[in-house]
This record gives sequence, C-alpha cells and structure tokens, in this order.
Amino acid sequence: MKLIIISFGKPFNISLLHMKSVYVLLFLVSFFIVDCSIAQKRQIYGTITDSQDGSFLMACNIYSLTDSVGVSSNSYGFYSISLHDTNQVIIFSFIGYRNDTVYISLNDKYLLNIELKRQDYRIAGVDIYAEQRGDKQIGKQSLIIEEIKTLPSVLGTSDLVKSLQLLPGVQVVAEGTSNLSIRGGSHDENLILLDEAPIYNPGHVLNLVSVFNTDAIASVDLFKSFFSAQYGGRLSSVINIRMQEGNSKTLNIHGNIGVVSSDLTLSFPIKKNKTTLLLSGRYGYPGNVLNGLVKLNDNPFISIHALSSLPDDNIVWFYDLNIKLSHIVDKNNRIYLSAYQSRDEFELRPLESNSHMEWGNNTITGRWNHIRNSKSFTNHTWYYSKYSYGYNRLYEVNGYEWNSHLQEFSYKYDHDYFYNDKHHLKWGGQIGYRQILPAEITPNSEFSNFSSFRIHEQQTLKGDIYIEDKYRVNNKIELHVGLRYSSQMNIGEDVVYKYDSYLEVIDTLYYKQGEPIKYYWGLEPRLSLKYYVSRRSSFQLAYGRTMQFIHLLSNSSLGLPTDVWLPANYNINPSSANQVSIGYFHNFKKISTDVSVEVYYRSINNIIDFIDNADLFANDQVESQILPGKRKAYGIEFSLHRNVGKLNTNLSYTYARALQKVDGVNNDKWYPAQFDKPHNLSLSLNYKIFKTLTISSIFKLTSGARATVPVSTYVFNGKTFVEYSDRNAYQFPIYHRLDISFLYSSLKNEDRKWKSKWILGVYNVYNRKNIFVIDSWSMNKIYLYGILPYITYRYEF
Amino acid sequence: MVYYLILLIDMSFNIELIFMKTKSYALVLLIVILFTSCTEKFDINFENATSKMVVEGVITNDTTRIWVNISKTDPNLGYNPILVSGASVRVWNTAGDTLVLQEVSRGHYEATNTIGKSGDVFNLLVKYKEEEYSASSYMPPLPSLDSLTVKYTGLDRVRIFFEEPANEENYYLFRSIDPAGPWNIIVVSDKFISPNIATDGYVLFAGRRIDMKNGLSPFGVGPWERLIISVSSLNRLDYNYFCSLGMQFSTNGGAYSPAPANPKGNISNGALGLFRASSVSYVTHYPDSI
Repeated sequence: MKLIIISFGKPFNISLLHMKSVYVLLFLVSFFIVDCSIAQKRQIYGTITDSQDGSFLMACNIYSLTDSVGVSSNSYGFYSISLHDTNQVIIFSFIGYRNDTVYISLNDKYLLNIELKRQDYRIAGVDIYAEQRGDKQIGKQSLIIEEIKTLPSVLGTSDLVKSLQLLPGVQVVAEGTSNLSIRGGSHDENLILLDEAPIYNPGHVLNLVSVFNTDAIASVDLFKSFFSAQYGGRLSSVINIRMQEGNSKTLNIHGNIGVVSSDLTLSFPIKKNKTTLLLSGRYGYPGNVLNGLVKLNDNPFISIHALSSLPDDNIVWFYDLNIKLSHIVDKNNRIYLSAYQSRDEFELRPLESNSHMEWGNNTITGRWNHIRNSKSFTNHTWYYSKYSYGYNRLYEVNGYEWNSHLQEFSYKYDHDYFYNDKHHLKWGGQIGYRQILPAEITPNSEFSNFSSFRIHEQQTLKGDIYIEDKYRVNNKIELHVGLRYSSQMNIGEDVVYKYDSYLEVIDTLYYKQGEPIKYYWGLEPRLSLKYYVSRRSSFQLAYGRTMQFIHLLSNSSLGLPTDVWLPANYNINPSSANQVSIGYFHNFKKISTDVSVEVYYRSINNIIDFIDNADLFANDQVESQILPGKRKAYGIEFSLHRNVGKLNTNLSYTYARALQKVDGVNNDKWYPAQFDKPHNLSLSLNYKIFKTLTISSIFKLTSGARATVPVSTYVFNGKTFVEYSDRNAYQFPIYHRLDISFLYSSLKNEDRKWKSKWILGVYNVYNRKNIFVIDSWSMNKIYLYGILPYITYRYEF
Repeated sequence: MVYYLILLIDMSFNIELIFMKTKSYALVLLIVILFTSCTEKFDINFENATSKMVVEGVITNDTTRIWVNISKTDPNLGYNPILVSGASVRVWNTAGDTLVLQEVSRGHYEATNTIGKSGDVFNLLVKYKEEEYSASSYMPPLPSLDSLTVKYTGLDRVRIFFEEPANEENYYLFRSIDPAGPWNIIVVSDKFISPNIATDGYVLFAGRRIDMKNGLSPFGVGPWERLIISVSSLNRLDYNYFCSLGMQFSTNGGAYSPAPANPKGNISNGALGLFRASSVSYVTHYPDSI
C-alpha cells in the first residue's frame, strides 16, 4: 500500500505547486493591471442607486450623447465612462426608472453618484424598456420580481423558479417541481447563487415550492449555458439571485398571507443612508392545513372520501429566513453581510411505513465593495454554504437514521476595470474548500437490523482564475472574450478504491489527512460577438466551454432532498460541455415589440448515469454503480415581448432535443433524457383592466415527458412481474394548462400607510389532468393539480 | 391485497428498496391529499411490444429434485402466465453428468437431482421451436450453519441466528417453506447483516400487525403450527436479480422512483429469467414451544 502512495507522490507535489501558483497569480494579476493603468483624461464614475430605498442598480445604461459611447453599471451599481469632449450630456437609464439626464462640463475625473426614481414601467416606461431589450445579451434572461408576484401560482405562493419555467429553453420533467433543465442540462448543472453563495437544493416540500421568498429578492438573472468567465463550476446555467438590500431611507414592512405559507419582510435603516437591515421570513404550513382538513372531515356534514382514513398528525412544514446588513463605510467602500437559512421537515404518517425527512440550506456571505479609483472597482466575497439532510426511517426492524451534509467555504475576488471607452476588463478568481459527508447511518432502535456505519468524507480544494474583456471594436461590433482556468484537488483523509473494467475492487488506497489524491483542471474559453445590424437589432454569436467538478447522484428524474452530491474524484471524472449558439434580436419600435431567435447546439461529456437497478443507498463504493456517458442537446428558441399601454405580453416557443448515450445503459444506444420534450409554448399576459384591477394569465403547452414503462408481464417464482421498455422510450401525452389571476389594489392605497392587495386566482382553469406519474402497479396515472383556486392577501406599510 | 404484499416485501426485502418506496408513497400521499390531485386509469398503449421467453430454474445441493419453469411474457399486461409446453430441457455439471428434465405439468419441467453439489458449476440448455436458451451458474457453498436457529423473541419477532463469516462476501436467500406465502423469500447481502448475528439474530419479520397465533404469518399467510425456513446461498448475480425484481414492489415507475430496469438474468438469447444454483439448509421452529 505504501508503495502506491509513493508512486503517486510526485505528480501530486507538482499539482500542489500548480494550485499554489493559481492563488499567487490571482493576486499578482489584480495588482499588476491596476498599476499599469493609463489615466484617461476625462472620466465620470460612481454608483447608481434607487432613490426610494438606496439599493444599487446593476446593468444600468450610461450613455454619452456627446461622444456617442455608453457603458453599463456592474453588479454593484458601479460605472466608469471615459470621455473625450468637455461639455457632456449624459443619460442614465434603467428598466422601470425615470431617465436622468446630466449636463456637465468636464476637465478631469468626476465622481457622480446617481439616484434614479422609480416609475411604473407598464404605463410610461415602454420605450426605455424596449431600448434595453434591443441591447439584449445572448443567452441571458432577466425576471422582473414585480411581474413574478402578479403571475398566477399554485396556492398563491409566488414562485421564482416556476416563473423561470416560462422562459424559452427552460424545462422541467414534471409539473410543479423546482428542478430546472436548461438547454438539455440536468438539474444539478445549474449554479444557483444567492448573494454569491451557491444553494444546493432549491426546493421546499419535495420541490413543490421553491426556497426563495420573492419578497426578499431584488433581482434574478438567468444565463443559459453561455455565461461570463466570471462564473464557473456548473455546466448549464447560472441563476444569479440577489437579495434585496434594506431600505436606507425609512422603515418598510410588507408580506403575504396565503393558504399554505405566509411571510413578513422588514426593511429599515439602522443609520439613515448609511447602514440598513433587511429581515425576511416565511413559514409554510401545508401539514397543518392538511391536519386541519382531516379534523374538519370528522364533522358529519363534511365528508371527503380521500380524507376519511387519514391521521391528523402529519408533519409537513418549512421556513426560510433572509437577513441582509449593508453598510456604507465611506464614498469608496461598502460592506454587506447576508445570511440565509431554510429548513424543511417532512413526515406523512398515514401509512405504517413511517419516515421522517429533513433538509435545509444555510449560507452566509460577506462582501466588501471597494472603488479603487475612477476606473477600478473590486469586490471581495467570503461565503459559507451548507446543505444538510437527514432521513429517519421509523420502521422498527429496518429503522435507521441517515444524516448527510455538504459544506463549502470560499473566497472570491472580482475586479472590474473600465480601461477606456473600448475595453471593460474583468478578472478575478476563487479559492475554496468543500467537504461532503455522503452518509452516516445509525440504527434508531434496539430492534433495528442495522449496524452503525459512516461513509468516509470527501474533501476538495478549488482554485479558479479568470479574465475577460468586453471590447467595443466600433459602433457596430462588440466582442466579449474570456478565459477561465478552473481546478479541483481531492485531498485526504480518504479511502480510495481502484476498480477493474468489471467495476470490481482490485485495490484500496489510504490517504492521510490533507494528502493530495487527484488533481483536475481545465480551461474554459468564452467568446461572444455582437454585431449591431441597426440601432434596434443585433446579431450575436457565442461559444462557451464549461466544466463541472461535482455530481449529484440522483437516481430519479425529479430528485429528492436526500440525493447525494459527490465531487469528481479518483474514479469519477469531471464533466464538461461545449456550446455554440447564434441569436438574432430585434426591437420593433413602432409596435413596441422585442423578438429574439436563438439556436444552440451543446455537447456534454462525462455526465453520469447509473447501472440498471443501481445500489446507491449508503454505498461506499458508489463509483461501481456509476457509468459515464455523453449527451447532446440542440434547439431553437423564439421569444416575443410586447408592452403596449395596459397590456404586457410574453410569448415563447422552444423546439429542443436532449439525447444521451451511456455505455452499459439501454444496450449502449442513444436514448432521450426524461426532460426531452421537443415542443414548448408558453404565453403570459398581463392586462390592467382598471386602475384597481389587473388580470394575469399563463398558458403553457409542451410535449409530454419521457418515461420507462411496462411493456409486458411475466411470472417468476409464482408472482407476476413487469418487463420494462427501453430507457425513456415512452412519451407522455401533451401537457397543457391555463391559469388566471386577478390582483385588486384599492385606490385608497395611494393615500394610506397600510397598503393592501388581494390576489384571487385559479390554477389549471379547465381542470386538465396532466400526468405527473404513471403507477406501474395499478396502471393509473396520477395528476398533481386539478383545478385549484386560491386567495392571497398582500400588505405593506 | 396487493398493497399488503407490498408492505410485506417492503419490510424485509432490501433496505434501499424500502427506502425508495417510502418516499414515493409519501409524495403521492401528499399530492393526493393536499393538492386536489387524483388518479385515473391510464392506457399506456405501448407499440412494438413483443412476447419473450422466460426461463426460471433452480438446482440445489439438496438431492430431491431440480425444476425449470418455462413461460412467455404477455404484451397485454395480463396477470396469468403464458406457459410453454413441449420444450426440451437438460442440466449438466462440470463433469458432464446430465439430467434430462420431463414436463410434469404444463410449462413445468422436473428431474430427480442426482448431481447438485456445492462448489460445482451447472449448465442449463432449453430448446424450443428451433431456438436455444442456455445458462450456467456456480453453486456457492453455504458457510457453516451449525448454529442456525430461528426464534420467536417476543413482540411478534422472528429472528434467525447463525455464524456469519466476517471476511467473505456472502449473499443469502431466506425462504419460508411452511407456510409458503405468495412471495415467501427475502434476500440479503451480508453487508447489511450485523456482525453479531450469531447472538443478536437477524429479524426476519416483525411488526405490530402480526399476531403470531391468530394473525398473519411472516411471509403472507397464517396462522401456522410450525415454521420451516430455508437458507440458500446466492451468487452476486442472483442477489442482484432478486433485488431488481423486488424494486418492482417499491417503484411506481414514477418521477420520484429510480428509472426502472429489467433485472439482469443469466439466460441467453434474449430470454428473461434466472437459472440459479444454491446450497441450502433448513431450520424448523414451533411457536408453541416458546
């Protein structure tokens, strides 16, 4: 055994050096480039904030009419623009805000912090909005939080993840769940960031409700398989969610009271215009509602058959808490501290096979924004993210408690450098440590057949650096070039099994604490070219490569909170993806309509699938159950956005395929992924009937999901069994549904402190019985939601 | 009834199966109850389904008989076996000693077992209408079962005790011979057996629902006067086969279940089924004697 370790010693030492050099380089690069910056003669720089609550505004447009050049603010509202002429006319504009025009006589650098005033974009902001859309970035979709809140939803709980599902290129295997498949990627290939910290499980109540409380969220951006070199670590998308900042001007309280969950958000200045705090909490009580219904059913006048045999002590609840503290140290420095916690408990006891599941996310993020000089902006981020889950099997003989967790610490450095009016550079990097405990099992009663055991922890270090340049070649062409170097090193203490080609263990290697085991690295080039055909239309081309060093061992298509994350390691390779996409974006000014078409092709390598009937449960040789494979995905996405007067229309259609091939599965033939639903249409409308009443609706139509189904029966050992089809060979019937909601906001709201709104909605208006699951025992289809009315009360003061 | 069966299998079949099952049921329940969902009969209507051969054969070191069942799959998803009559069936060992099995009832072929011996490899050949189906299986020896006992340990619990060798990879099949229920077997990997099985025992069955005297028996029928349990050795392939079959009790084929797959048997020429060679031991228990 010793020999083996020694023989592997050398390359690891090299990779350790390699790793170290990454960190050193990271810092050198940042200082070097700043020092060699050449001062531009005239410049304006500063931050852009919301006049009402003081929160910063990202991706604002700053445009000089005099020089005909423009930039946009970075993710912390910072901008810097280099100019030539002395007398400048500069326009600051942003979706949903009034334009601000500044006339300035400029000789040198000038710090100009701007506060923009909010405007009801539905009525007056049409043109600004449209202009913004004409400048759309390929693969990027942004959600407007206010829009999410007015859309119809299941039981009135407005849901950010469900709103993402209306966007072109975003799929779900089954209705009602939060696991997104983006451009043919599986749901573990999405990097979900909440204030820079990754969230590992975005679902409450087995994914029926998303973990994000929309009242605490400021913005959501989705980058579909092409994203800036600033982001890495996942293959298919980045979902960048930013928590609201506290109100720096006055106390604001708002919330919702709903059928299965209620929430409250408090936002106030601790020190006016300097330090603010946001506190937001949501509590969901579906179990209590159910227990209440069961109790009600005892009444002889009410008799619902489905409820009659149910116990009334089920435990199904969840909560999430958001806290954010922001502090302006001085004009050049801001610090933020955000924390998030979510928790679920799940125990439905009607059947005697009792089980108790619990899971939750925790994140803490600390950030320091620093304006170095008129051109440079830096951001330091420290975060901690933990996802823990447990399963308690309450059945005596086979009773056990299973606990598992994943935690990571990380430091990130980002530097924005507005070099001149042509180049906007970004560079930075990230180092981190991740620890995964796949399973710790203890018997939970003296009668249990189980013995305690623990599957060894896996630890990894990561080191990434990136650099990118947004280069405006001329008024017509814009080039985005980026490169990311990403790496991961597995370290001990660990036990590593070596397998032969039959996946039988042939050797066992032991590593000491901190000892390097395996080093993986990769280069991820990102390139996009934007060509402005006219002021209102652009043609874009993008190529991106992404790498992922972590896999989710999910044996089911929808995933469960108890699925196990596993890093790429000695036996499992990291996965990588290449994507090419082409897009055309056009804004028809006369009819205030934006249209876009995007075509993409992706190839993904080293996805993992499982051997048939895999044994994943508490298996410390789980690698022997995994098979590597590849996937190809391609599609075309159309979208149309129209915002005229009182009517707001969003229409999207996607044709997409996702096929995979895993040697050892499905006789080594290509087979469709479960989320391979070629046709997807969604239409959402929002119409202001009166000043007080708004009607919203969603219509969605997609091809059915794929499934493996019984094709014949046979008898074995005297009992009937079924023979299954090829993997995912069956396609469910077409899925479609219509939802409608009404938002009533009293006219009195304008004058009074307590502002209230009523939302009345119906989910699945015409009671379409879309398949959720086919039960192969009874050959029944189970549908998740029939017609489902709801009511929500929203308040603010 | 079907549901009752599921429970039985659930409780003892294989740990991870139970695990998966609970979740899917919990989910379905949540949905049914909370969200107005419902179930409805659904016709899958899958095209291209064809009928395949199913061969099930067992040879043990117990010199009584050897049997093979031959049937076909039913593309209409019916519940009755389509039995295959008129096949020629042969079994032989490494030394070439051959047994020719006779069809004693439709689809059921038997012979007196004169060759079953632990540690040997056995071959099966089935000929039917120009097609040949073959398989071979090694008969793993059973570890010494001198201490094999079954006890009723109170609280409706039946435990089995024996010396489980710690340094070997063993798989077992426990079968209730008498009474024989509709699905009277449990398979287990020694990975999941406590090292103290000789003193603590492995709980074959327990549960509040069971009344040893008047209620339900361990494997689905009861009450019983005596309990005969057999312990058989399995190869890993056999164990995986039974586990995969068992998954059918626990999966509903749905989105929260693992992608279902057909168990990997050892019969050639695309036939389903398993030819298994097992060493076997028996233990008898009289509840009244406790």
